[in-house]
Amino acid sequence: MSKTEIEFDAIVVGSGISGGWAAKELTERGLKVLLLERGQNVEHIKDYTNATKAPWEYPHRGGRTYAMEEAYPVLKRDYPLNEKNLDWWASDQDSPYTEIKRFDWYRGYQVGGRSLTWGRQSYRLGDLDFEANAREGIAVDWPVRYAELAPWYDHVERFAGISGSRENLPQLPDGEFQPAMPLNCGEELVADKLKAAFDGVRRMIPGRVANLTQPLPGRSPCQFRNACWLGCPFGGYFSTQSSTLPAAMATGNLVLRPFAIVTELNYDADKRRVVGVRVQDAVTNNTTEYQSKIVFLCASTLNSTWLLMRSATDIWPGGLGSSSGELGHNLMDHHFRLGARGRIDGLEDKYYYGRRPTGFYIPRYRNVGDDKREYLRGFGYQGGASREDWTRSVRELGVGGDFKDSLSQPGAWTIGATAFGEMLPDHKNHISIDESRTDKWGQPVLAIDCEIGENEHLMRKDMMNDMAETLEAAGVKDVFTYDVGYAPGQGIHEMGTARMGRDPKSSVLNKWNQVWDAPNVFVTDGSCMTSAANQNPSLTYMALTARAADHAVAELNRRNL
Amino acid sequence: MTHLTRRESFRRAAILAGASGLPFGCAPASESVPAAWQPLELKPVTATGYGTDPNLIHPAPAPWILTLTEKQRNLAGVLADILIPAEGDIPSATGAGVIDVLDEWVSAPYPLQQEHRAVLLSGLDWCEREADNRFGSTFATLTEMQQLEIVDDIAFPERTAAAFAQPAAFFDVLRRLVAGMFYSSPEGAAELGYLGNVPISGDWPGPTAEAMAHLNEQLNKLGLEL
Repeated sequence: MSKTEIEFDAIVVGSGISGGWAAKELTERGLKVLLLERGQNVEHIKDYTNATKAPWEYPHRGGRTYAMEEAYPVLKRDYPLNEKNLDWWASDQDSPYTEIKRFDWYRGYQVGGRSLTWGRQSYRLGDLDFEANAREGIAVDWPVRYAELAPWYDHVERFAGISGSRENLPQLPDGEFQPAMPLNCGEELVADKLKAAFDGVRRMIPGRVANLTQPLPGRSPCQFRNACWLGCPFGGYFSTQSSTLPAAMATGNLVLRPFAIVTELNYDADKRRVVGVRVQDAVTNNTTEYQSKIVFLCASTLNSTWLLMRSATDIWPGGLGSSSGELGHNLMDHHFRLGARGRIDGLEDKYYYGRRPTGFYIPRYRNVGDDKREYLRGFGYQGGASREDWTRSVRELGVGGDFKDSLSQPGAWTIGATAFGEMLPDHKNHISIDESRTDKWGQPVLAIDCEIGENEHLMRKDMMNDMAETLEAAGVKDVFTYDVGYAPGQGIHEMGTARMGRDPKSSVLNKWNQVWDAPNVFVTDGSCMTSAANQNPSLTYMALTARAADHAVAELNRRNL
Repeated sequence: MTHLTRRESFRRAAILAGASGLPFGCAPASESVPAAWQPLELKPVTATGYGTDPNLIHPAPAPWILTLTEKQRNLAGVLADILIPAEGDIPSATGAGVIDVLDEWVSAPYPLQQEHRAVLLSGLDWCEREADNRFGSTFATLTEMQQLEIVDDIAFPERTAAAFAQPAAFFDVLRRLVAGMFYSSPEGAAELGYLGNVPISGDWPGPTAEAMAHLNEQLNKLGLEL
């Protein structure tokens, strides 16, 4: 291969939310960038083959088959196993892993990664979150504060297109929002009553979501189909394909290579730098070495750490970044799957319009201000109000015309929400390389050992009971609580294992997401998280990635890298 | 609602018919002892099924034989059309082909369908015996009002007398099956005006011009305007 085919200014590993942002920011600053993706290409619009299908246009109504359940022993544990977008979930058989304790790992191995299938809820972290570890003596302090990250949140929100409302809440900073997707009238009714019932402490606000309510270049506003995870032909939600990849491509500085599995970072001990990466072709198994001045690791939380663990092992047996003893440790997720539901009386002449791809959000209020609980941190709620459909019980309406009428009329209003709680970083929760097993490509797999602790169990009581209390205080009837159980990983918010910090002795990355032991390697996906907060994390990965890319280019220009 | 519902108008017509001394069968239902519920002893269906994961876009014909007798199909059809009668251009349940689907459903070799078969056949059998018990005739040959008198006792679980608990449970199964089959037929889906998941850009555009014209016309009649 010619020099221009193997030499780049920057290599980005992974093309999901973080990798797409790295590619955009680096190419726009003039760097020649190679974007490597282990899976197949998915072209915007053209490859959204199921985006406009009705359920009956699938061989199995879009559901799951016996054959699928057999082929996907992990994926079948939760909603991702389905006929509609199965191609966008990694194969459990090709890419196995070892569960020392149950850990549901739902991966997206294709161009765009899980940016195609993500839940799109987008919330900033605030200083309540960034200062928490230091204040409480948990793990290590975040090396950044909100003020440093705020302009980068502004930057990514404007480009990605986040719709939301300004609420002036210190624990959930406002952003550069497009107009919110409003609460429906059932939610508004409850939101109004909540204001009085809890003196404004428990607030119900429109979900902040990466779906457009105003057009952006090359993208249409959301069409209210709520079919985002099939890929949006209108570019209505943020994904690599709809947003960052076209921007990176437009610079002329990007080379995208699918089916490229990065198996090792090539570390030069004399330069104390990584000088390139080794790539295994996922189809041919051929190996290629690429060179670059800097590398951005955006391969997803556990996979970026896997790659560090597999690199520079001749210097550090635990891999690049392991000198702190923290590489692979402090794995986190958001624990959830519990809350409450009930029925709203009245509003029988009201309905809602379209299929809104978000709901309401109740920002964290526990351990905020003067509130003090027996556990640390807190949780937020995500939910919605809707009217029951024809599947409700209509037996009392008997036969004939009345029966038909009742079936075609909407039923009662119901409202409910699920809590998403912060999980504390714990050194015990860790991943390691399982040398005894290999994947389809002959690479050793990860072993995952993770569980929630006492703090989370205590929090879960509030997470369930608070919602019932909240709904009842707002006049909601027939309220019932639920807790359907939680296994780590189910939140699909894996975080940690290569945390940022202020000290190379206790963290893997510095405040600019640079690996302490190889400062030209930046890890900007969820691996870098020092704590989990309770907010959905992807927006923070975007902001950290853009900030790190800006720093990387500045450091290159200063000839520090 | 101020207008009489269909069911209520039948009920009042029946009362009138009784009061005016028109022939209306035997004693009123409230005084008769309903036919006993007798679960039928059925030979299990042992046909081969589809196997797992059949392609539903191009479904193969059901590999099992249909098991309902002509008499059972007719009776099920009468009940299905009481549940979902024809209205204007919209066909009744039988008009939309529900009985063919029902026959295939209860003849299938799977546990749920076999369960439904036992309930359905026992229920149809009960209807025949109750028709004979009350009116001395087969159900299908009863007048519409006589049929409705029996149905009235089993179609409203919220106020069903204990003596009718099992027939009412049968009717509930029949109702769910018939409604599901009717509304998933092309005719039933058309009646709902089901649009599917269509793109909608922006806020609600407001009522259609047609709806506004209608509203204005009605308001004008009342001497009002928007």
